[in-house]
Amino acid sequence: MFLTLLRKDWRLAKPAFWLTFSLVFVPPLVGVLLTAYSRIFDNAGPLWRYSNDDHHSLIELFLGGYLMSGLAIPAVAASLLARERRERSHAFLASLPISRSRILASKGVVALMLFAIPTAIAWTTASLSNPSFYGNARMENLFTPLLVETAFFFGIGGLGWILASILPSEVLSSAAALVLAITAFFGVILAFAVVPSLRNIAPGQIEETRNLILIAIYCFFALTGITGGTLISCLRSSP
Amino acid sequence: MSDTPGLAIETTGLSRRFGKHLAVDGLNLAVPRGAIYGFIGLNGAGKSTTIRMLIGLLAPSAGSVRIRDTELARDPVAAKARVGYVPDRPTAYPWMRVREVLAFCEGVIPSWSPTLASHLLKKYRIDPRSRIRSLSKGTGAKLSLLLALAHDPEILILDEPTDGLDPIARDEFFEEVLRASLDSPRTVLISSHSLQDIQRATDHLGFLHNGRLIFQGATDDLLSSTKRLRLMPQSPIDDGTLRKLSPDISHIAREGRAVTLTLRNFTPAAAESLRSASHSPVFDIADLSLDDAFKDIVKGMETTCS
Repeated sequence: MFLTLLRKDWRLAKPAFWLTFSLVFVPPLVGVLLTAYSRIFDNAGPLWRYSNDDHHSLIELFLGGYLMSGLAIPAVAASLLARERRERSHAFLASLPISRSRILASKGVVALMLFAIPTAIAWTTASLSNPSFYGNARMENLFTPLLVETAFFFGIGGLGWILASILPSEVLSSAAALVLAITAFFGVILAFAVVPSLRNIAPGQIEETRNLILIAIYCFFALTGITGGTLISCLRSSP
Repeated sequence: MSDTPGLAIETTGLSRRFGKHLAVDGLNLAVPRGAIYGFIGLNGAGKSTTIRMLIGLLAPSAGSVRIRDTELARDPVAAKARVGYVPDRPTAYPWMRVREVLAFCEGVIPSWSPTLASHLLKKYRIDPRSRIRSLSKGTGAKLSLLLALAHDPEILILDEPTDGLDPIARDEFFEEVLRASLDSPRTVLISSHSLQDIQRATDHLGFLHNGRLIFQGATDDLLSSTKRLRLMPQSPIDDGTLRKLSPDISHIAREGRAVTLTLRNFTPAAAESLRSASHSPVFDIADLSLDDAFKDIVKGMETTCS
């Protein structure tokens, strides 16, 4: 029974997932093509033999793609929850002898799987790449921005999840999740420019502090969004 | 609530409030086992809200629902396994093909019968390759019926299933519902605006008005005990006086000097006492169709309330 539900939920979320997935790969693919194009014109040897700089640029594009794909993540959550309500198929599902917890568990598993795949790809790529490409051999120089991106990814997913459990439209819930997540990002940037206690932080620690605050905010979004959205869907009087 | 062996569906004090609006008010529905129960009411009477509570789509604000011996709130999965639900329009995944939604149901409903599903698919002439969103209204309604029947439920609940269907498709649909209720011992609760079809198909009725059940009983009992009386009083007689003469008058209509009354709990003695009290030499008694009986009872309720 659970596998049937998973298959159905995977099909519901498939278009949004492919959008997310292609956003991860489109920027590095464009980078590869541009690099190849420039190597042909510069007559710089075989196309597949990249310089260190080319390699670093591609990794950065790839991680940029991962960040961009986060923008499509609320659509995955919305397609699993809000689409069912818009198409009224939630009424069909709720009339069948299946417990609501099982229905939600299937959606949760599919959502987490779809959030996890681009994340796993990004972390694997970052781990396999040269950790010194930021000009510094310290691993955190690569992994701290990646951690912020991952927190953003799950934070925006959590927002999408809770908003899709309240709003009946995929577009509206995705857009609202995007606006909230981006507002939080720029709010933190602005806070560092305006709030005196944050402005007084030593210049060398500003980026680290900002990243930690962003990670905390997005983790909060992820946890409250996923828990709140699941509770709302479980407890609401009408599915 | 007692475990009444003779009831397929039983609600006790079932209520649903939407903000300040009380859509369903203390409903005590009793659908006997094996009955074909017509659930009738005007638009906004609370029929769909009640049906949504009966199948667990909507939680009641108060009261409880019992499906056979299972309390819906306590064990919704077991209760829903006994029920097949046909909504007013197909709610199965519109992007799926018919064969995909059948495979889905087979995967999630333990008692699903693929043999019965494929038999009904052929019988209803539904193309399994069609996308659900592309089905006509008539075929969509038949698919909903198929999805409700293919796990051979004890109870079939239909919520205005023929809404928007042309007369031929509606007739075909009702034929199929009747056949499904005859094929195996099954309780059917159906709400519909087509009172002719309800009269033809049902043996029990429930009238819902402003969220309250104003009549519940056997169709034959209602039609044999509700008559229309036509009087021609020699002197004018007002509605209040007539209602004092018989509390069972549910509706009064006037045309010139003639007064037409709808009388519930009709007995020849009650009719005779009305005739003599109103000094009416002319006196006609006529049977009512379900349509007329329903309209007169509802109009009578509205007059009494106002």
